[in-house]
Amino acid sequence: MDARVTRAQQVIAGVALLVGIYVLLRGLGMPFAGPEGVSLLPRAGPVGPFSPLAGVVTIVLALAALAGALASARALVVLAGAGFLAAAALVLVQWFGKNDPNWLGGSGSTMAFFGAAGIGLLVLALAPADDSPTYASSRGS
Amino acid sequence: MSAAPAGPAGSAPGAYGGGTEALDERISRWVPPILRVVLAIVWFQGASWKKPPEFAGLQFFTEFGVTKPVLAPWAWLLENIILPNLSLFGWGVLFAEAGLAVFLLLGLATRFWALVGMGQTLAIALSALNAPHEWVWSYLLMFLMHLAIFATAAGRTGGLDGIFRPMWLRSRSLLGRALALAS
Repeated sequence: MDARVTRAQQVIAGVALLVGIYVLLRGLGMPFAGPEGVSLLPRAGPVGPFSPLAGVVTIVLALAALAGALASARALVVLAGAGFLAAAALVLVQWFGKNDPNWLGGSGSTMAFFGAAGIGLLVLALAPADDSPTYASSRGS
Repeated sequence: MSAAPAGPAGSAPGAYGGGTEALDERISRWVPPILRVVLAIVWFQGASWKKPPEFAGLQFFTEFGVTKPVLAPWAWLLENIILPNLSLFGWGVLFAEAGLAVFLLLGLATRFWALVGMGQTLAIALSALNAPHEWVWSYLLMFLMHLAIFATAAGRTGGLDGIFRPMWLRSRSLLGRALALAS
């Protein structure tokens, strides 16, 4: 697996892991499975909210992606990416409904966060390998 | 007049110039992706309150485009086409803004999404510019930030475009060519 692809997978998984831990720590005392939750950057316009359950889901999927990236296990990264997309779909379905239940505590930005993690991991894991000599050294042309 | 870079007295001009050039290069390389990520956060915020299926918040602001019109043809479009079908157009707005958040954050097809961002900024400005407490420069700055990330192809540093673009440039498939153009 190309080093830049692996590093990008690690960055996405790492950011998601940090978000999950932050949500879990800040969400102590909140209802576990929504509909309330923790917002990231609340003063800049909230990204979220994320319920504590969303924090757990994020941590589990991020750890799976991280393990897949470190072990060059593409299937694990694909599984984590698909999990994030499923979480995005769940948020959309429950938010589109009456918001009760909303297990992940989500809104459109929660959906976008899970979508970004899912699409990023899947694109990185499923893109065809490029073994051309210029690929490893290219820095964007 | 000499065009040589000026250095501190007694120092070798090359050493000083080399240091500042490296710093300049680093700044010009990393500021565009920072702009890109900040814009993504703006769109995350936008997607957070376009709640389906009523899209009540979106309707509230869109109606200003009719009651306090910015441009007559746009006001007509809002009144006769968009507002009566907001349950349909609302989904488009939600997915466009969520897509902007996702793809600008990832730096994937960045130039395409910068164009989408410019279009969406224009649509918001034409609807809400004359609403109370709006500041015209906020929309202009938002538009110009998208223009900046378009001009600098901000996904090629710290983004997925930078990883995949060499492959897309060599690709003969329609998708590969489209992605090379979009990045």
